[in-house]
Amino acid sequence: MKKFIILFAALLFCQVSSAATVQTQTIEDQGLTRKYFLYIPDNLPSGAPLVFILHGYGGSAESYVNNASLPFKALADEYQVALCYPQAAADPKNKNGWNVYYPWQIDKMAIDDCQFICNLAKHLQTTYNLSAKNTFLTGMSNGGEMCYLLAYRKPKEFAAIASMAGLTLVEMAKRHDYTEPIAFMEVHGTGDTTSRWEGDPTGQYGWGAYLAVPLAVGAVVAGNKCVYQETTELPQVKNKVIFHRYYGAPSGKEVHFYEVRDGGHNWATDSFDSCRTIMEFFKMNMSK
Amino acid sequence: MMLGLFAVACEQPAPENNEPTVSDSSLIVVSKTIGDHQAVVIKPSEFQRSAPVVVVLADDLELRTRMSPVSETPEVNFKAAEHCLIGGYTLCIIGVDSKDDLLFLRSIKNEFPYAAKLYLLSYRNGLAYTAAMQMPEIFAAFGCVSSAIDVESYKTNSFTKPVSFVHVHATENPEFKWTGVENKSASIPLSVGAVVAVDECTHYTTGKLLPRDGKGVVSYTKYLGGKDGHEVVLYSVEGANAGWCDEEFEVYNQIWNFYKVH
Repeated sequence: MKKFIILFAALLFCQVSSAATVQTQTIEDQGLTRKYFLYIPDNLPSGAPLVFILHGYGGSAESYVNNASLPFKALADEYQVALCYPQAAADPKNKNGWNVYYPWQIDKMAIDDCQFICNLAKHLQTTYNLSAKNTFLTGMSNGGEMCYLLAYRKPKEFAAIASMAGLTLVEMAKRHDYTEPIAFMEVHGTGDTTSRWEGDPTGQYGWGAYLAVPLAVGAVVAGNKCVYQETTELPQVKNKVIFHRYYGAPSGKEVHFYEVRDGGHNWATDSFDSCRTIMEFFKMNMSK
Repeated sequence: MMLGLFAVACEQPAPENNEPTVSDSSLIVVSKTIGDHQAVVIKPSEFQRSAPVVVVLADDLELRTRMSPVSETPEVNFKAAEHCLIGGYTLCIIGVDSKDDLLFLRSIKNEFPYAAKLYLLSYRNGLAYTAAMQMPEIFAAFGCVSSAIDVESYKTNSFTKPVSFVHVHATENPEFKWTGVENKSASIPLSVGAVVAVDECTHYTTGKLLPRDGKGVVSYTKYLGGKDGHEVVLYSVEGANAGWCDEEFEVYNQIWNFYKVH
């Protein structure tokens, strides 16, 4: 009986702390049925912000929704934002991947994923009365590459963008320029052997040629015309994390760069509270 | 000496004012006016008309120092001139202030009609950056010593075309601080980074130079893979030097050699 009461109390607590549920939805876009997961906290006010979270190459949105080490749902409750986890479609390698100009995608993948994300954003803003001014984007790895690509192509659609272990492919830099300032954040491990800190100018590691990570961030900094910088070392938990803040742009938009010393290809959650840092970055870039 | 003076007279239009001319066995030094700016031109006595020209935008103090007879001015600019000669360059030092209007530089080619290439170097002012934004096509490469992008100028100017650029800066420069000076100058990495971005450099290498006479630690970052072969180099000199940093390393050789490959 005592066990039953404790279990009942625990179930009741779970429901009270996060009564909102994740909805699985679809949308027709560019001739395809695209799946996404939507999390809307209880009692979310009208005009609340919308945050997109993009998974990595070969991954799934569902795995992000259910990933206990990425506490975005709890953060969404706290910061009062809606979350959308879109699912990438299969690319020419038959893997779930965002079209970011990997060599096997160029000219072979018809889907314009940047347009898809923007179309989905408009749909959600309209359907759920979410803020068009306060729509944000984060993503990991291939999702991080989407962060750079959308910063190039659709900067006006997002109030801020945060890339985790993302890259700027040379093909992106060739095709696009940063035309509008954008509040941007990058978290990257210097020991990342998948998306290498030092770049891959010849494309020998399989993703196509890409910029060294400091140069990819530097291109956003230059696009914003940031002129000052500060460097701070965060309190060390596991890997050392150096925070580079670039500011002083005419638009006031900043670029925040977290260099995780010897960090790997991940969200760096064991070295600092990266998910909360992203939400704080979004919060500081929220329009009223 | 006479041959050198004659050569200068042939190449340059007759001066309107009495331009003082000084020479020794290896140099011809002519002071003149370019646009509304005072200038000093230094050439080897056996110069070639096609010799590339390094245009140095320096503050007035530096220029006045150079206006004195060469033999009496063993100043930093004289060292620069010597190295210019080794590199086979003509050196043209123009007095400017930090907020200068650079329009006169558009006609600089007319001053040196036979020069194979023109290079621009700004010393203790960020005008090379401004010029790289405004007139990337006029100079084959740009350089900046102990200064940075002028914040005000950057609000109305942008880099539009790739350029090759070399920057020399001391990490503790008290005047143009490494991390930038509010409402005055941009941070040094971001000044250099702005050029790196327009050049679309893809990667970089870093290294240290051997200490010179045990003085100073100088490291470099070379940004490579830029459009049309353009590259950017930043020499970081540890310490508080706000000048040429020529005690710490062979700064002139490094700059002139950079120019040589562009």
